[in-house]
Amino acid sequence: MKGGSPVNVETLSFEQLDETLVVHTHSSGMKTYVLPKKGYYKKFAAFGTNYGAVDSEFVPWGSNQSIKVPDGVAHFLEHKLFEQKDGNVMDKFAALGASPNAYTSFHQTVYWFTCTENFQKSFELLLDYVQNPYITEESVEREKGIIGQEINMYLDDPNWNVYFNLLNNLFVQHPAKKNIIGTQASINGITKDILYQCFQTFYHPSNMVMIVGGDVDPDEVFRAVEQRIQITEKAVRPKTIFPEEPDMLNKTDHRIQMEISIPLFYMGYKELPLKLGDLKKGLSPDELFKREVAMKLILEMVFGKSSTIYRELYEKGLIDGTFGYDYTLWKDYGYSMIGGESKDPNAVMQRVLEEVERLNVGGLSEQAFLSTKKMFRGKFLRGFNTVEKPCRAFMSDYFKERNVFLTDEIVRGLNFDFVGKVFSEHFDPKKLALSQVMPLKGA
Amino acid sequence: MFEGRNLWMVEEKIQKCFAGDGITIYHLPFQRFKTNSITLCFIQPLKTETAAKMALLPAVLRQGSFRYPTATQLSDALKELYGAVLECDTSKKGEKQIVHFYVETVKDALLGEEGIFEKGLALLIEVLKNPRIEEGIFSETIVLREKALLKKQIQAKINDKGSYILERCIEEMCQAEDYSISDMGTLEDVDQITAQNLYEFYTEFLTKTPIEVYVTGDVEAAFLEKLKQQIFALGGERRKLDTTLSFGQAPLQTKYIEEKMNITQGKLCMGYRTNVHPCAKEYTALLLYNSILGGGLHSKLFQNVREKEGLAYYAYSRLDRFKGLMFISTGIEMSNKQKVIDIVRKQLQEMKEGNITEHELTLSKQSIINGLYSMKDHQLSVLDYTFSNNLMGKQQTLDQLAQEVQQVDKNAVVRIAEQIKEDTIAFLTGIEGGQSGER
Repeated sequence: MKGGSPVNVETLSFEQLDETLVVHTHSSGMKTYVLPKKGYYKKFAAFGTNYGAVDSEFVPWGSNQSIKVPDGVAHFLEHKLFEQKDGNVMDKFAALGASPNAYTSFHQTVYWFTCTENFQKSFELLLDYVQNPYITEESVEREKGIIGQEINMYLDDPNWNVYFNLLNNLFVQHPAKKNIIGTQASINGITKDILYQCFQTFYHPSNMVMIVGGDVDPDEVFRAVEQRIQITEKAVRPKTIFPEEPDMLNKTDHRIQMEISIPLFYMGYKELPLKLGDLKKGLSPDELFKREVAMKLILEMVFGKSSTIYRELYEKGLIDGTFGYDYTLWKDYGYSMIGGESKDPNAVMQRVLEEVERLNVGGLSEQAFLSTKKMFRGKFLRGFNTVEKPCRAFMSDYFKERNVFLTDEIVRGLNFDFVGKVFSEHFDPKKLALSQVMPLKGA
Repeated sequence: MFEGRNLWMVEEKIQKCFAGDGITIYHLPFQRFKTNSITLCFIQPLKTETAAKMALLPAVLRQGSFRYPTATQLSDALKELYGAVLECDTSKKGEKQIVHFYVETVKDALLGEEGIFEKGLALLIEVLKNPRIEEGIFSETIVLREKALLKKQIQAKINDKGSYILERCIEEMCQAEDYSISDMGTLEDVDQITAQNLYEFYTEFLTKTPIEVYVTGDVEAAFLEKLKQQIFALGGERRKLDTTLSFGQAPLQTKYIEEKMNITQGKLCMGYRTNVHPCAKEYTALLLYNSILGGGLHSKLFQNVREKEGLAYYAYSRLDRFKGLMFISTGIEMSNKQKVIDIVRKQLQEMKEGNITEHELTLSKQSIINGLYSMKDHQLSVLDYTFSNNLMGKQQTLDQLAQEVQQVDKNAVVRIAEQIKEDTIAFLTGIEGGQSGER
């Protein structure tokens, strides 16, 4: 080994999983995680920043005056980082035999690549390009055309529409409902300066994390991080300014028409977790973790394929294989989503309300609880079949101050009473909204 | 080129455990995964008379069996096996229709249990062999319900505009060929099915269809023997798998079809005949051709349609190697249709004229090889690759293919370019004055 091993390295073992995580902490506070997967061909690396669509109002770096940026900036910036002065970064990755990509979500922007050879060089490239933006007026204008087409692609997607309409119903002002890619009008207002401002504010290593998976040498990875992260001091992330979000819903129902064969719907319950907890001051990261896992278990118990309501709705022809559910929870907002295709979404919603009421009175089934715990155990372990999946899952929840590798422990530690309590807190009929996409009349 | 790839790794050889009487059993002995799985593939020719039945049968079987008469009970049984996965579905490859039955469980050792995988196998055989029967045939209620759902799925094809226009392109292009038949059948085909005729189809299907079996994970020889006996216990006399492929010819003049829907973004699909048989020497050069043309960020389509002109968010080409076809797909502003068609045609012309740089060739090789090696990390990808090869009578491991890709020279790619023929263009456009996604 060249030189000595980098310091500030810790190894976390997950014996039940038969996996380990090796963690390095940089002087800026940035952590790098390596998931060694011996015998795998693919290597994966993802570099993420705690900055996404919700961060639309904040005090930028070097200023004391808050600003509001147009919808779609975080996503636009993600596209722009690929362009360097000496050409497109995608070409450089391609020359190394690697496949790069990136995504923007509500809370993070993540740049990643996979490869089966030349990992070290591709990794160095990833570290370099994400730290060095090169944005010109001309490239900004051209990107407006490309993203314009991306926007149009989503506008024609009924699933995208039904989801964002639900968010708009649930939230009055909270940026949880912000359109990640923006609209043609909002992105037309994006300038080079705004992009640089956002970059300087949020793309600070203190605000970022790196995860690597595959048959790699952690020491080599950490050495590259030590050598190539340009900013070495810690900084405090500027707070994103969130408007005061009222308890009530924005709308209870919204429907649009599109050229589809059968109605598509999502119903969802709103949560404001800041009002939860013993002191009504919100929940700690660990408490949020526990609550999120409990809710996912509850959704499976109440709406999964073994449930009473699933069987009933399926046999009545009211739901089909598209029926699904999910739960999202961050520090100051949360929501469940239950939906799919149905010839009569209102009938489904009625039935759901009745079922929730019935369970509130009679209680959840402990048998179903134990069985679902087993199922979650298997699902969790199965997720570690590949290099990518655990790394992506890790990245998605990292900025919740969470290590998703601990999910199995959380599942096992959940007790039935706690789950019952979460159930009764969440399914408040006053917090329920419905979003529908209907086929065009006469179609 | 192979630098940095772990050459010390012993290639996990796929073992053919048994072959005979229309049944072949393969073992993919991967050690490093968390799960074991079994896939049973029943293979029939893709025909209008059977397509809908082949789609409905697995859906009906999935609804319950003799021991687990409802879908709920089946779901409970799977949950108890730590969230085991059970799938029964249909698909098509070229002009073959496949019904597959699949079970996957987390390894016993990892769960700290015993016999979970065995129980998974038992469940799979149970669903396949002991269906829920009412008065000697399938339950009428269940068949009726699943028929309605299948019809809904057929009607739902219009929801994904990109897939829809690709399918329309294929229907137009291969009108006279079985390839254009949908693996769900038509609405009318589904209407004709009854519990009676579906059950009759099932008894034939179970005993006469050639089966390919794939087991993945570290399993004992005793387990494989048990599996073999269970498959043979299904009985019957099976046909041998027919691996011949058929190819069509491009028309003298390109066909053009247009459809209108209430949409914002136009979808263009261009279909080509490559006239390359996947077992032929030139096949590997075709893979290179497709990659250079439209196989990713490095490709001519991506660079010219998206990056240079900003006309699309995506633009790519895909091969169907069973039929020697290639399809170019892109989502664009409707008014730019002709402009984009011209740019696409120009890229094909460039390749014909040999305007392919060494850099493009190298990038494409790396992209393909990276993809092939990445597949090795997914049990099901290796399975699918092996299965596809078996369906066309081809013997070639991923490593062998990667090596061949490395050897392809530019001239071979140009020769391919010369035989690509434009066949059909399909365009999905908007209705004038129409709007979509209004809030």
